Amino acid sequence: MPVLLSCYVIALPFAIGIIGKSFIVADIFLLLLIGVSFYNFLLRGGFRANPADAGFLLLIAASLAGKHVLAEPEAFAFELASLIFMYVGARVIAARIDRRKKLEKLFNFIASLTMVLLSVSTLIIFFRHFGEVGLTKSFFSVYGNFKGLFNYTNQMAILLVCFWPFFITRLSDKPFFKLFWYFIVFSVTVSIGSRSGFWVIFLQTALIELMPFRRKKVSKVFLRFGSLIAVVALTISLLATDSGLQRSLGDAGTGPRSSNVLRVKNFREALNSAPDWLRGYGLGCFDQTHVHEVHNTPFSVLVETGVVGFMAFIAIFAFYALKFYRSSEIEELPNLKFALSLAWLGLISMGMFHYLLRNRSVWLIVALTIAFITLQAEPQNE
Amino acid sequence: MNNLAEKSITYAALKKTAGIFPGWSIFCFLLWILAQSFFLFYPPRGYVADDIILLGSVRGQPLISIQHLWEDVYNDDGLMLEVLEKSGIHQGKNRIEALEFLNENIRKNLRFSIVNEVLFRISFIQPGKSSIRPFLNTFSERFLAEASAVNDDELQRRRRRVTFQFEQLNRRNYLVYRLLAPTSLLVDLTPGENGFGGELKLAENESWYGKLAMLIINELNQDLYSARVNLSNHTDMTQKILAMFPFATIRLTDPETPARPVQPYLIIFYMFIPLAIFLFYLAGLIYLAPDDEQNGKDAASV
Repeated sequence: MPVLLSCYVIALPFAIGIIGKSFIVADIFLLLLIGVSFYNFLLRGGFRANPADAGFLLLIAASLAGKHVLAEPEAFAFELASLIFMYVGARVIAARIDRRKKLEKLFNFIASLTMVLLSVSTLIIFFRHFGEVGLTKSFFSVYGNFKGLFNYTNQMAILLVCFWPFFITRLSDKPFFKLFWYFIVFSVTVSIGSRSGFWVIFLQTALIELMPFRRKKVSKVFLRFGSLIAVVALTISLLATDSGLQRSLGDAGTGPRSSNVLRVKNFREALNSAPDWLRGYGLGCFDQTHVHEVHNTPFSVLVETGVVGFMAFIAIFAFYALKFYRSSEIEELPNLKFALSLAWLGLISMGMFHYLLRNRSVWLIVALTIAFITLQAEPQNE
Repeated sequence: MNNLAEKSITYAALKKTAGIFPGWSIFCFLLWILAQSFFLFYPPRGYVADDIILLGSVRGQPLISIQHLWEDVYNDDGLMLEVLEKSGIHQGKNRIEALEFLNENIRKNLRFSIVNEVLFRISFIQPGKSSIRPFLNTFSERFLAEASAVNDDELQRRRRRVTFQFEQLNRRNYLVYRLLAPTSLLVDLTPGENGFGGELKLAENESWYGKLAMLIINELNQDLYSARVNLSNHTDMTQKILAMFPFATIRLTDPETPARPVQPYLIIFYMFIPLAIFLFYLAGLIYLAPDDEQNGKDAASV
């Protein structure tokens, strides 16, 4: 597997900012990957493109017409640069995975990384609970929720939602082994305190256990699902006083930080900007004049880039979804399509409550999907 | 041709595609011309013009409440329709249409903001330049007329009040002088040259009664002095501060001042238009480009 790509994936959980909080360690490797691809593009005089790329160009074109882009030039420039960087990065990563073996290796690599990440996170969390708080301070937010090395707890939750399906579909089917890891992942997610993160991971896990075509007996299905519930209940009983757990289960509280009041207010203000939806408010400009960004990815795209940008955005992901849905499983990797499907289900759910277009884990899933589609279409010259 | 397939894109391929579909190039070119022209006359967020009004005041203390006056004028449909008709920017004869136009196009874009206690700004925004000044000038003149009428009336009332106060205090002091001070103590008893009334001066007197009388009269003179100053503030047309705080409400902005675009850095926006159209054009070329099968190319050639 390409070294730069491996380094990029490893660096993803290490979200230590190099330039401010926005440019992190992983971005260096992605920048190098893009540089290598650009060099190849100059050498060969061309690149490979698909209609989704045309849609992306249209999205960029639509974003230039935003109403407030020149009133908030820094925010617009930052958001536009991030979007281009992430999409080009995803295409470049997909182009690097040009063999099925590479895809298999990357799949296993992500699964292993997830295992290590979960193990280390669990140790940190339990050390904090039963040991010295001061030593683990940098891994927790000011409100006591686990965030790893990310800036925000939600980023940690999104990474788990993206990577958890890769790990869980590679797990041995031994029940206690699986239950142990279920306990681990739920301990970590309740410590994160993200409602969407907890329930999406629960949904992903439940789907794996409840997929009837994967089990021969229906009774076994319910036994396994019951075990899952038992694990969740055990986690609850052990961490019942943890405010992160309470928040994970849906108790948003009444405080300004945790309640939904600000989000609903922001949502309403976004709806009130409807007269501007022809041109769009301006990419990245909405949260400059409001409390924060719209916590919904498609709605945010609609508000900020207008109807044209929204249609382009839908076209991009509809194209990839259509291609992915119509593709068959790659013979050597029967679980990959299932894992990617679970990851996408998680992302779509998370996208209803978060803005995901700047999240690197999300774009890695996009890259893997593009690579999966491309490898389906092309004959393999091994 | 499978437009949904991945394909090799080279400069030569794009050129070939542009040759195969000349209509797309022409369409994008026309779109660019149209967009650039449209935004030249109707820039994003429109044009804005301001009129700065200086309210009549007495040494910086406004005579009327601009907030209340604005609400009265702004919400007066009859007055606003008169202004609209006089400005000539709406040609409809139907009153209902005029009211709709007033509510949808005028009121939503007409704002005022307070700069300080006596200075406020009326702003009017429109998509195009031509309709701004005719309406704003007419509106400002009418607003000025309304403000001046109320302002002048209030000024006259205040002048009468301060004049009465001064006369009353002056008369009081005179009576007290007469009561307390014997004639020998009074040095001067002549009416003032500027019509404010006479002023009495006390001669120096060493007696205890004289000193007591002087003390009482000195105290009373403070009120009289304040009343005289107040009267001067309201009536003296020679005071220099009138240059800064006139009694009358006036418009400071020249009626010929042109409207300016609301959008900052508009020149950059005009550069974004061709860039956006170019990206749109490129997206179309990528979509329309023939796939690798049609080109007979090896899929992994690029």
